[in-house]
Amino acid sequence: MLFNSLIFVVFAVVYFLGAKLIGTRLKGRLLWLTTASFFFYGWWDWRFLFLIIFSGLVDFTAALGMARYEKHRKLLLVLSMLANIGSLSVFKYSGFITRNLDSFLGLSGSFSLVSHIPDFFLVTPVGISFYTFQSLSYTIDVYKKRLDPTKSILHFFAFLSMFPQLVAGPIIRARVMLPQLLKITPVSKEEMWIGFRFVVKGYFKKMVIADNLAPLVVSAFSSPELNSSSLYWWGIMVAFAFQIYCDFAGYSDIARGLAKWMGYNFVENFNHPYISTSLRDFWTRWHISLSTWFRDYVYIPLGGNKKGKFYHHLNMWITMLVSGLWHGAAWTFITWGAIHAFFLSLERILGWPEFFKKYKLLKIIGWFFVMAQVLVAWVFFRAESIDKAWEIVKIMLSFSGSTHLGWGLNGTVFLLIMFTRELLIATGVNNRIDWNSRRWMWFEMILYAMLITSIVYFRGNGSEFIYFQF
Amino acid sequence: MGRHSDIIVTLLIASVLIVVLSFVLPKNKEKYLHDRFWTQKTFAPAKYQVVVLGDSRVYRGISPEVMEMNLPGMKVLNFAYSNGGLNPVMFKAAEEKLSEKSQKKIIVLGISPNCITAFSQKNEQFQQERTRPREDIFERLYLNGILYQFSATTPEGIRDLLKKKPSTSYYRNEYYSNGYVESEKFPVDTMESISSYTQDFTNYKVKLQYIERLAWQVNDWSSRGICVIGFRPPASTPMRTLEDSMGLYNETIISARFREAGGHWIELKANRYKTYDGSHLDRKSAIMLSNDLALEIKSMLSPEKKPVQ
Repeated sequence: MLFNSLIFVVFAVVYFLGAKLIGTRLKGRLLWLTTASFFFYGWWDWRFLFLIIFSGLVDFTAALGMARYEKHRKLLLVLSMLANIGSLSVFKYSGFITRNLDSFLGLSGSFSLVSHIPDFFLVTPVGISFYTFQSLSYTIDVYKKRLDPTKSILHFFAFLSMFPQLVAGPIIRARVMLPQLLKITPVSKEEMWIGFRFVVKGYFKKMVIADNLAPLVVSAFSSPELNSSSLYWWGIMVAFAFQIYCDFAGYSDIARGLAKWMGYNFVENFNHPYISTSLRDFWTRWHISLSTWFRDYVYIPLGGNKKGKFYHHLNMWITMLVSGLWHGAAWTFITWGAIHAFFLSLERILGWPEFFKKYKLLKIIGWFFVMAQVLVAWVFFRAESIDKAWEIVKIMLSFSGSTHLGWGLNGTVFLLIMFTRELLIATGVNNRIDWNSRRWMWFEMILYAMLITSIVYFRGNGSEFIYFQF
Repeated sequence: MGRHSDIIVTLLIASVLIVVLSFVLPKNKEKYLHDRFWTQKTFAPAKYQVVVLGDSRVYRGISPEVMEMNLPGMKVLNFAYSNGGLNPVMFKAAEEKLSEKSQKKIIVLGISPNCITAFSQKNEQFQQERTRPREDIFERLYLNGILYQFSATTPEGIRDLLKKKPSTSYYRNEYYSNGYVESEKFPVDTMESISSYTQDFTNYKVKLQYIERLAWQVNDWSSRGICVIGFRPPASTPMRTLEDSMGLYNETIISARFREAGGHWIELKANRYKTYDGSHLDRKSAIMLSNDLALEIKSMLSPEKKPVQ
């Protein structure tokens, strides 16, 4: 079920009415949340519900086992990881792995390995990477004794399947969410308003900005002959950068808003990544729940920056490559991770962001530099093949061709809205406003009314959220 | 003012804005009619005595309403799709639309060259409609009327509205629930489609295997008492020449094979009909073609009466 579908609106109304009727009865609330979440997920394909249930049962049992059988903690953790990573490998990576093996071994036709994989396994279940990571964080935290396992299966499944963030995050840690699920606190009027703002902002980002920028990007990338203008491709990549940002941050905002209305708090997932003045800064602002997950469960366990400079870089490279692979079973995503790793390494070796920070003008140059790196990396993320991505990057770096940006009036208007918003944040204007004063409260209400009106009249052609495929 | 009341006030302001703008902003009627039309065509549960299959030449060229006037007591459905290939997927879907209780069951096949090339065998439009998500189908069938009032627009749409640019050309489509799309285009350019068809026939030709598969189906239907009628949808003379030469469409062979398999082939006088782009019939010609076909069918059903042309 998509947030931007009418059926979801009906679903949400029924859910919140039901939750209101159940009131403060904890078991009832957890049961209602789990049932609704299963229905939400099963609407897409009920068969894949068994995968979440399997994954959840394994982790729930493994965690209980860790608390009971001290000696077998490691074994239980390994089993849990095998089950989770195993299902992820089968459903998300089996096609990629076998296709690469086929190509390496020169197998084709009926002899190829990929032809022996049942079709069902070649369909990536929506949000598998999100809930698998969420479930993994639970067993790892229990193993590390950072969290006591829950004894209630209902409590656990309410956490794992929670519908606002089930299919596209943010990835919520068990130690953050499990205690919240046990607390029943009435939602204040202030929180209702905050939730409302999140939901409206989220829908605006997705339906107005992302869905209206999508046609520009699709037509540029699907054209059989690539446009030969350098400026055109920089323009298209700016459009894609905002498309993917608004698509994903929009989903996260809606999820956070819904959670607020339910009485829960989700972590911030995006913090204006395109105002970053270094790549390191970018990664503290982009998909924060995933970056921190990789930091805590991959980078730090590998040794982080504690084993000397070489291992510091090596661990960062491994983390970024795995992050690339997490996004998709294709070499383009791995290359995207590698490009970020390369630029991050360069940044650490040269330490240029520190130099650029000294003067305001240099800071702007630094910002341009970071954005250029991010845009070049996005080419690999978006292109269907590495060859095509290289072609586009070559055109971008040739600085030749026509001076036509390719945005048209539609693209220009929607991008200008985003530029203005990010500029207000970067210059700190937003923080200087007293939003609680009567004047600004009215301004805020009119602004949000206008956003709702824009969602109605400037909605683009509805499409799935990009991050569903991950 | 409490923060909670903010939501209600905001929603009230938004409602006022939305209602006011619904009178001002341009509406995309075509999109909503188009969407509902295709969903209805694909999912409507009604059953018919006559089902017409083919591609865009058929859904723009045959009016079931006109046919029904000449075939009293018979319900006709135009079940053609864009790039509709004549293959088992469509044969099965068409058969499911036939009324089981009816004594007379007729399938009319508009066999254009495009229908029997590899290109159309994917039946992309039909498959796209058939696999549409449930909520989309519901929205298109039952909520289109409301959504139309709040048609989405773009900055470019608003710019055009402000400029009030008078249109010198138009392409008008009228959608009928019986599957027919009445089409008119201005200015008429009978050579318009030639270049795209030249491109199509460079890559795809009429294939014998599709003719044979069609013949097998005609034979199967005939043996089960379903009357099968075939014809070549009319097009402009240059288009027919192109189809015969580049597309390798041989009407003599196809009609002979069709008759051999038990079907009835209707020979049409191509120059009786006018197209607006070389490929699709204009409104008047579509009515004429529907009339002609219905009369031919009528004469087949009661052989003693001769059709009037």
